[in-house]
Amino acid sequence: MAPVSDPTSAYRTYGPALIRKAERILRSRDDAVDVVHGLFVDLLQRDAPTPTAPAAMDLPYLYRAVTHRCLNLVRDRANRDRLLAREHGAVELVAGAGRVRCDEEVIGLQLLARLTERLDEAHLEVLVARFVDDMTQDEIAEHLGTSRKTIGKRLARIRDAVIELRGAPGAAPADREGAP
Amino acid sequence: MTPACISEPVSWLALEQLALGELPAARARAVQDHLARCPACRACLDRIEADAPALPALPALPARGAAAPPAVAPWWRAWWPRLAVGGGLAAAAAAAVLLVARAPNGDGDGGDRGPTGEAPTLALAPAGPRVAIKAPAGEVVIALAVVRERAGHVEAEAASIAPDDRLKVRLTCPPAGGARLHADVVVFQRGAGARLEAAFPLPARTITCGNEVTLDGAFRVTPSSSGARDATVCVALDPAAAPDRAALAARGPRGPGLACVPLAAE
Repeated sequence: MAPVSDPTSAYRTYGPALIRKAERILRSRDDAVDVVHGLFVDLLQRDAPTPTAPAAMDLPYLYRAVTHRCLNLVRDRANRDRLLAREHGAVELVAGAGRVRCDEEVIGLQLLARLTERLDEAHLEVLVARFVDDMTQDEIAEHLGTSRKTIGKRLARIRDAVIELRGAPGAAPADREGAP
Repeated sequence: MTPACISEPVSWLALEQLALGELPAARARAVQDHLARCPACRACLDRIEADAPALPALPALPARGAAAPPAVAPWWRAWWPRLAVGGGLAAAAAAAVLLVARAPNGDGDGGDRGPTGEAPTLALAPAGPRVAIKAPAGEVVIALAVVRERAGHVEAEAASIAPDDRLKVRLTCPPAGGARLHADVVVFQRGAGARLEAAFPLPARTITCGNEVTLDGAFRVTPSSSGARDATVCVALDPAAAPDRAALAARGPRGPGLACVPLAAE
């Protein structure tokens, strides 16, 4: 299917997928709907395509846009208390391969919120792609338009940041590829 | 409980693209092959296919490149949180928004009634919608507008409100402004016993002022403890620190660093 150029059509086509993605980050369908709705309202308002908002919108591009919006929401300290109130207990990054996917929280909102204070946007994008969207390193590299080597480095930094937060050695999440 | 994936889980993006028929053929075949053998990933796809979230309507705006902008306004940023809350006094972000109505007899000589022990009045002349702030780069004049959404119709500069209206706050600074400011939205209303009631419907935050900067978050207003529906929506701005909510609530809709828009009940 060719990318959609009309925001209204893109909203109808991709809105549900984007809402599901935002909900995995924010743990709330209402907040997810708000994020996606706001994204498309802004796209509607844009007068002309820009380098960061191409004329044609496909799902990978919109996936990244939703990641940014959700991270902004999580990063906003003012919203954080409200978001974290819905998480009962700290769900940490889990390690190991073969984990349950659909009903498993791989990264808790509390940890994500704390990581937004330690990691820049480039690393946070990789974090979401890997631990929320379940992409492989190759997929992430293609999705973000960078090399697998760069993705590997960013994942290593993410692991370091998690270790720093946990304050315990060897507690970093294992990468699925190559993990026992 | 959903079983574990047999090998490497298919990413959510790939599953969504498969459900939409947008995966390239070779990739789609590989994913389908995996799904045929993996109940875990199949369950994820089933979940996608069974989910049909309702999409709120987008505002009716001219298409990109259209000649004339709409007479009323513009776009919305995301509405969050969605709040429609009842009465109560000044509270945290997720709590009630009160409306403080003007006193029925139009009292309000603009001054507090402190020495007599009476409650501060809602001034007949609250701070206007423009406020001058001394920022590090110099004085910046900031204009406040309350944006109202009613049944899908957007009013850029609301002067009145009805019960189900959703409101957002928008600030405009001159292009050279760009000041980084602490901002807090406060809604004043006349409550029971002519007491001034103040509520803070949105989290305090820092903003970089620019052209039509819409503060994240939307709110509805509900009647005050006296049943009044009028409101004065203000934004307190300070370049140095978050405005003191207790002080704001005490002094009412006037004083330095405050821009206000009165909203009459319809």
